[in-house]
Amino acid sequence: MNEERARALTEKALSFASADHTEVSVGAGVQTAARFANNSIIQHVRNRDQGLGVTAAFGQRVGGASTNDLSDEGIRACVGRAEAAARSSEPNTEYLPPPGPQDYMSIDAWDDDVVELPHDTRATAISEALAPVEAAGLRAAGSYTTHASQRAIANSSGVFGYNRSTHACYVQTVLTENSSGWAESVGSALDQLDVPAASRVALQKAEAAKDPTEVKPGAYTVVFEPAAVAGLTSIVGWTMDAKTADEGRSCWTGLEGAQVGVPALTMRSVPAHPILPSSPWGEQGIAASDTIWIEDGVLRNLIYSRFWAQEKGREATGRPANLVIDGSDATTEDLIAQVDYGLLVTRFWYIRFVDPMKLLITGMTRDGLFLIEGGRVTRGVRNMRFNDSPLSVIKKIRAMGQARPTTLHGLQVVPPMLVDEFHFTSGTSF
Amino acid sequence: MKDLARLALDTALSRGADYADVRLVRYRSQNIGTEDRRVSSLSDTEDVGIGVRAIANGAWGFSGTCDLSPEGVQACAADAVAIARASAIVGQKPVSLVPEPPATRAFRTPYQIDPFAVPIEEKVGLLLEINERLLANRAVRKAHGFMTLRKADRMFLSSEGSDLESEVVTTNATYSATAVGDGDARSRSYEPPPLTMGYENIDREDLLANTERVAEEAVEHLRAPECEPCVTDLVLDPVHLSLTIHESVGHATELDRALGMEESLAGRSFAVPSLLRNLKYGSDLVTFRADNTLEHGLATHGFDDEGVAGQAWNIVEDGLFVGYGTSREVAGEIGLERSTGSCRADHWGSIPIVRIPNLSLMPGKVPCSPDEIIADTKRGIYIEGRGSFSIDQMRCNFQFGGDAFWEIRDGKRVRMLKNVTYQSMTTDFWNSIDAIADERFWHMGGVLNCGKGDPMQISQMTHGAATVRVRNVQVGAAAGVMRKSS
Repeated sequence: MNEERARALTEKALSFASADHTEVSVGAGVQTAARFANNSIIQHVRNRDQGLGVTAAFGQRVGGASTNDLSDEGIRACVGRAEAAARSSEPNTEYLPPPGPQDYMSIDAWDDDVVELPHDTRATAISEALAPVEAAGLRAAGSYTTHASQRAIANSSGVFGYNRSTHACYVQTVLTENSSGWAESVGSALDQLDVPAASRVALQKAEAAKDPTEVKPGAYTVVFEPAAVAGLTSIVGWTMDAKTADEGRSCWTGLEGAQVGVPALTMRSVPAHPILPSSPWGEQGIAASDTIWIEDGVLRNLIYSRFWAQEKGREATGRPANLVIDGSDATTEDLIAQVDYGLLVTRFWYIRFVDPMKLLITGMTRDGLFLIEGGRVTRGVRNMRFNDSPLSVIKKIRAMGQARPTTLHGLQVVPPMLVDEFHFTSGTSF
Repeated sequence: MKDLARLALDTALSRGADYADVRLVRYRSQNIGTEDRRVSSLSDTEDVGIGVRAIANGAWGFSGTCDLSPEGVQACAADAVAIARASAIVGQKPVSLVPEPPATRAFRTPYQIDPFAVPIEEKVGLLLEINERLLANRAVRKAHGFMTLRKADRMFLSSEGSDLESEVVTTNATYSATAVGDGDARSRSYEPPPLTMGYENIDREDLLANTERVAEEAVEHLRAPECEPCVTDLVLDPVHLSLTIHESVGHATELDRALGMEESLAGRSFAVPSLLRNLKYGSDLVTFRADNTLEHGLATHGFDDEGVAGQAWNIVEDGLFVGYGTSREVAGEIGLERSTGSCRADHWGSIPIVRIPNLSLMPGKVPCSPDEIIADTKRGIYIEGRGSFSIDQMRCNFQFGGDAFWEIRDGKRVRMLKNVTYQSMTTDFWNSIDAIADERFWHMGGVLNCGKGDPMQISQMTHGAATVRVRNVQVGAAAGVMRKSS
């Protein structure tokens, strides 16, 4: 769906509209994924879809509808359903009319190589990645996924925006009889992917974690790899809503402007990030911009919707489309060398809220948990359950390393972190 | 539309597929959300497309498209076969399907009221009236209401001769109240079961009748004391159990997971095939029955997305691990001659994978009520509803919360508690069940948004249960950490 077609479709939808305000979004995408397990491709899929969404408002009575039938009849019906829903509904007292024309940043995140990747090229890349695993007598699982999408927005106030993007992701888990190791490689362009490197890392971790022993639950000094950090920082990004905080229903209540983390911590969103870019627009088509959430450890901004920003005399921020934390030039090994006794965590699994008022969360380690002794990784240990709070973690960061991209928990570019007193409360059998 | 599906099938076969099947599905959904006195979201979605699965050179290929022109459908089918041939580059053994007799039939969710024929005003009005009643309690500062309505019209053809159609309707309405004060906020929810049923499942009188209690309990929850870490007995209601069953039994007994095929995302299972009939999964009281013919069950669709008819079978019988949910591809790995029919896709553009069936804990065989279980419990905690949930990737170590908690002392519920979580290992937990209420108290709960697969797919399934007692469970370790740290 090129820009010309996208514009024609949005104009068509707006021409059918009779509401006070109408917003239209349109898009098309292709996702291809080859999934493997036990050293074989078990699923290999391609999905092509398109869609058009309409939000119609009569005063503050708002209704939405969507369809993937982009014929004139389909678009007219979709507009009709949105308007009928709006007319039949009661007011959304927080609805604001859509903005006027915006100046969108140019985000170039398109790679033809991602779009045109042949099926057998993908399969061959997997085959080559599996070769060292099979040579070691081990088995692997993972996936090689690519996604290309084009999208546009328009509204009855004169907005039009068009953007296209590609994304590629390779993940691999290697399994021994009693351990596993995981790695990923991600980017918006194919040349940002390093499939062989991800395979090597996963294999090395699985072998290093073999014959794991048990360690007792308790508070540990921990080195978190970037994928593990992302599990914790995603919780920060999801929850820091200003309205919820102002209503007293959140751990963030009263914290704006306060020192919430170590001075070395700055967390921001960068829509035009060169590896993991996000959309040039946010809520209702407002132009996205770089946003600083935490600066030098101080909480500068919570998430302000347009409505809540208006209520509070603030700028609307939109939701964080990606999260970027700059680290340092230190490697993960440099962080490990600073730990006398602690743990190295590859990633987390099944993170869930326990008490949102304290941002207490729980989850499991996965695919590579290691004991650190005297500044070196000495052995693999059995996976453990943690219960702790990211609000507590960011106050106890001792050091950070080189930031790396990860999409395990949304679009993030985050560094490995050395954190003191992280709480593990139970273990498991593997 | 059937002509298009046949065109896809014929194209796949003409391109050299050894097996092919086609799903052409039309979806309609409405989702309504209310917050306090406003409508916070209202959407109406329609979506239609076709998905073609093919086996060629012993491997799977799948392609889906929304382009329902003859050219689009043919290209999609050809793509599926090309993908299968590419898949064969990385294959250890050819895909083999257990037989399924071809059939021609139609299935329709039995329903009286088409949810999409009910005016939006009525749906919105109901949710706002619920919120108004919740907010009538001045200590309640936030009220949320949700309604989910879905319909899927599906056509399935296979190269083996199956010609199947289905119409499945799903409805659900829930709400919650949040009380705020003294630097804290606590909620209470009301979650009638989501079911494959028409709008008659949205029971206006029942929803309104529970608002006063829910508001009062939200306030009581806010003022409740913290739960201290301890080892104690738990009495768990059916709504709460729906999630415990889902996570620690349902996912653990998906055969593809047990064979390592889900490792790249959701993990594997401790319940490997060598443990079939060799593992005491639960106490002698515990039988888990899978039933994709269960009337109004969320996974009751007539046939799965491989054309296998809905069936009923045991997963755990009198405590013994005896069965799995399977697809045609994996059923043969444990010597089954027929798939149990648990292979579903969430969308025409997704490949079918093994999903949890309707899976229920069967009621106790001895007359026993939840009140009698509580009266028989000296010290413990009674948990209603769903809250936090987390489990490891082999389905062993889990931690659950809930929606509301009461301390039990000397056979009575004496006061509410807050911040109750419990942690256990799956087979330890189910082997510690020593009481289950009888069939009078058996209740169908369910999950509308189970995530599995890579790419991720969302599925729905019913979990029925009656109130149980579990002995000697570790409680409160999670909140205990925060109290030590602060």
